[in-house]
Amino acid sequence: MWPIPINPLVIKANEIGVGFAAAARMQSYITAGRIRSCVIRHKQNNASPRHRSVPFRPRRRHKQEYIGARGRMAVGGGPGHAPVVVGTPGTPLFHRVESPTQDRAVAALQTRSFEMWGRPAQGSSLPSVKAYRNALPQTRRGVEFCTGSSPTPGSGTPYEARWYLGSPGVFAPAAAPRGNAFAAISINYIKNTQVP
Amino acid sequence: MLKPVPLTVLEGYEMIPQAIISRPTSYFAVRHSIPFSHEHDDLDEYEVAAVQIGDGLVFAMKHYQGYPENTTTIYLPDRIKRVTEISYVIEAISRELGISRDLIMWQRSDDPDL
Repeated sequence: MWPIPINPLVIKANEIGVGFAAAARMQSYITAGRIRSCVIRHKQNNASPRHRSVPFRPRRRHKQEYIGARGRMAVGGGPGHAPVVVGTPGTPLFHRVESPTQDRAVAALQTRSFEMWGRPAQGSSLPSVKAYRNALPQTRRGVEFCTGSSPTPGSGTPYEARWYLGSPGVFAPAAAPRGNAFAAISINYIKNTQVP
Repeated sequence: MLKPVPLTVLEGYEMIPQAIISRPTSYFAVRHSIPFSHEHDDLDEYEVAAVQIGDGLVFAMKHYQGYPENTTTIYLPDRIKRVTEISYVIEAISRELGISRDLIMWQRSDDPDL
């Protein structure tokens, strides 16, 4: 079955491990042996598999963004529609739920920029960031986040928090569309369940 | 006396949540013929109505979907800032709405810094 016998001491670093492979010469006998049957097109040998067996496949994702050990994932979610998580959750947790103004594009933008933006409330001219004061319920789609900025005192309830321009850590985003007033805060953790 | 007014009356005001009542919006819609409309903002979707009381003060009654069920929140214009003044207005609104004090599950004086 195998054109060349497998010697585990000559497996590349990205297949087994750096420490283990350092002692071995960087020769890819396995790869060479597998490709041989593919390159010779006139020799149709279906008995030789064209791909490496599962235990020896590299662990890194070669076409998509790398998922690091700290939980940083690709924006936009994976094929399983798992939540996109960036950063480490702390306390207190805040959340917003999906709505016509908190759609998927906005949630993806919040995840990329690590900022939460807010428009003026209906009828008002004062922009503020608004959020619920607890974790995102499992039954609802939205974004859950943590921030180092405290909500503006005297403007919230046990369920609702607001950050107004002029409060510490609240800023007017430079990238805001011309003619639109926004307030923004930096965040240090976000879980986006508005995927895909 | 309570008088429902169009939401456009709230234009130009920044409305701040100042009290939460343990009654759903439907309770006030039926009992006081207050028409609630469905709106949304950055936070969530909500039911809202604008109401005027006898002295001309306009306030909003809202229920965001993320608030506990069967609650209505009173929003007052941000020019009413002092806690004592807020408490006075909330008491006047409660009287007009015909709700007892124990139905107010939270108000600003409970957590002025919230």
